[in-house]
Amino acid sequence: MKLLTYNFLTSKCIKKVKVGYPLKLNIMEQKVESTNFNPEFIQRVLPRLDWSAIKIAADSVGCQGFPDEINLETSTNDTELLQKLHHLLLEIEVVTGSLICPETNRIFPITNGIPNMLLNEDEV
Amino acid sequence: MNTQQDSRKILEDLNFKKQQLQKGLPIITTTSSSTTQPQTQYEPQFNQAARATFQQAQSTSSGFFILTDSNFATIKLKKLEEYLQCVDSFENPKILLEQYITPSHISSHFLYTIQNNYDDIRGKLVADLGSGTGMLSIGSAILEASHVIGFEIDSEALQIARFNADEMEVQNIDFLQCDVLTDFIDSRFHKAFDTVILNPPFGTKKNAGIDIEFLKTAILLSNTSIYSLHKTSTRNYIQKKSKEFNCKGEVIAELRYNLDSSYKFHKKASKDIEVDVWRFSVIK
Repeated sequence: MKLLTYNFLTSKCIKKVKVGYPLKLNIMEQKVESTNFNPEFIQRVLPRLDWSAIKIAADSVGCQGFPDEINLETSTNDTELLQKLHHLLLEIEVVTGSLICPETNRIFPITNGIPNMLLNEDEV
Repeated sequence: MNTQQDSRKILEDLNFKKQQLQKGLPIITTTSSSTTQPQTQYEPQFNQAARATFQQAQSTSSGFFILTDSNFATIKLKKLEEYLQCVDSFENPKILLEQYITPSHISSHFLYTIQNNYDDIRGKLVADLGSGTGMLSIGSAILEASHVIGFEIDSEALQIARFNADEMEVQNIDFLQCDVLTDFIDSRFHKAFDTVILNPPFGTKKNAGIDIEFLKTAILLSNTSIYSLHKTSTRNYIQKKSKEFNCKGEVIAELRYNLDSSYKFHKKASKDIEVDVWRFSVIK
């Protein structure tokens, strides 16, 4: 699972969970694969992302130098920041680990790079 | 077995087209879509590479392709189809999930049309709903989507999909285990994707209407366009539904979908069904 995908995942589907976001991220195995940097894509996708979850992802993998807040207007010309985001969001693959609901501590395992977000019938 | 049937299908199709030509009938049938122009008006504007690609599509396809004067695709159709022939299929197809692989021939033409005619894959965030063993996800990744997420409920299919993607060395792709029908009711994925692609279950007696449920979710997740396959027999119904879902829908191609007898209850060796390729654009 790439950390771009992580940014969208919630545990809102669990019964009685109010926000279910951001999920806690526990990484046991990760790998880095370099991919082509496309600044336009990062610029376009950034407004759809949540900055607090980007920060959590960055902390989990030890990527540094992300500001506390994001200014969407100035960030579009900040190539260095876009490149860092590209690396964080698209080049780091979480192979094994888990996602944890912030309200119920329900664990969603990540195995072979695939997060399992399925819930049991009694949980929904 | 599969390749034999495929080749037979292609031969039959070529013969059919030959007969049509001899009768002086056009091979390509266009729908009443307002954006489609008679092909002769477009042809002179075509550059040579695009023209060769189009002829290739025309001669090998069981469907039809709309001519446009744009050419956004970076790799050739034939190459894409060759890659997709390497995508492994289901080991033990499950009837309840209507698991059968989208054939590499149809997948490659489907995806190639989306990229070549509409520029809706390259550099885009793409979702594949009910991704199965990853055929459409991997095809989108090969056509240089910036990132693809394949959503699938079945563990076995997901493992094969992951294997396929790794084997073909495509990195810009994630597979995620979830239930397309229930897990997106209130989701951060709403409008997150530029393009949503799906080959939904067509629905059987037990789960009639499931293709509409898939389509409804697909429309929720997209901010621009959705591409889907539906039985031609349901065309009017799909048109009506797309309006309800606040979308503009058009049939961009017609296919004859060859379902191999994946399950024991398919009596004939293979069965052709008529399928429409739909493009839905989100009304903003």
